[in-house]
Amino acid sequence: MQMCAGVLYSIEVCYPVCMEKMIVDIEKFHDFATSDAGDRDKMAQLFIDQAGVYLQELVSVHEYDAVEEWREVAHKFKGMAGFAGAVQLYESCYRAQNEYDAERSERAEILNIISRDVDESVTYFKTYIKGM
Amino acid sequence: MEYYPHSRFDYEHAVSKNKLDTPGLWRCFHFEFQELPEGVDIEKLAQKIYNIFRSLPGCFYFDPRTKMSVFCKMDSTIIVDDIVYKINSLINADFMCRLGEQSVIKGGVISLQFLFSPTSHEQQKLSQEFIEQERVGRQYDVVMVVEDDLFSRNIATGALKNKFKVVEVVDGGKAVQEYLSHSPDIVFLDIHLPNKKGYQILEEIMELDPKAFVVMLSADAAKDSVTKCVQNGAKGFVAKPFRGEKLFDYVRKCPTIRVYC
Repeated sequence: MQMCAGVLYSIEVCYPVCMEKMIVDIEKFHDFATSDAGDRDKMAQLFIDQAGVYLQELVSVHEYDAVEEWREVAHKFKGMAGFAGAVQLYESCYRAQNEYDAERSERAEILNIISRDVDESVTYFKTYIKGM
Repeated sequence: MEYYPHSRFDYEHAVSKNKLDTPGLWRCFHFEFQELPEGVDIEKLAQKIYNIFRSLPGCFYFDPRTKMSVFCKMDSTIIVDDIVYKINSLINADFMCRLGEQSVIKGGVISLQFLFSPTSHEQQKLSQEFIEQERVGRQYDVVMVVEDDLFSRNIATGALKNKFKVVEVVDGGKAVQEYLSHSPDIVFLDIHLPNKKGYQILEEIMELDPKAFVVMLSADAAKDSVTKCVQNGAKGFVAKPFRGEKLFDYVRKCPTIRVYC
């Protein structure tokens, strides 16, 4: 699978699937965060910082094959993604939490997806802070 | 806490009075009180304990100076747990006796440390009174947010901080201690926490303060979780992610909150 400019392409079938891909549902973010613009920017920055921390934690627990810790980090990560309106990341964390006892290779695959979702949502919030 | 210096000194004192001059195995029972509430008559409690020791075979000497050490000469084996059991069956139900970690065997003297502290029932009564006094005595309302995820915690505190003093707790293992320190009017308590789960914290808080106003927070809003929390005394359940307004719905229901919101 290859991501491109908000459209999901399937390499296998070699044509665009034309699914609308939402990285961050900003309405949700505005709903949950305070109405103060300055505070929202701070929350966006906090998301950027914490997403990196959680991703690193997931990488670390994956290395040690600590499945319970994997589930806990994924749960926490999912909670933050939900508040931030990071819908793709929320879904991949949800999957990580529920498939915590999957084969190591499957978890590695999930980790790759989470890593990609983190990159995209972090990029989104960086742009958001700059004023879109 | 009252502390009475222990046993070697007491033993020497007893020897000097020629009370322990016969050969054999000596036991020194030393007892002390810990964390007893104010107003408890320690002398009366001590007298009860003397009487228990008096009933033990071979016991013949009480240290008149410290009044907290008892010396016995017993050739037969004693079962320490039996003594603890006997003490617990005779003293006031508000207190509990347990064997202290400083029990030692040194020379010919076995020194047993018995600790007396309030039972959980008594502790509950005391903590509840204390918490209520704290709430009445202050001029502001306190909201406690127990949440380990920084982002979620900021969302909650961001909504509440302008109206209330907000106490933030990250570690589940410290939640009960913080509850006792701050006597919050309302607690928003996450379920998945490090070191201690929200369910257990809820139980412990409700045991200490049955009038506690605790609202659970979780991304897992399964029916079972909600039922379990409500059965254990939670006043509500907020599914994550939530809007700040949702928290205020519960704040308004809290009977001790005075700020209009």
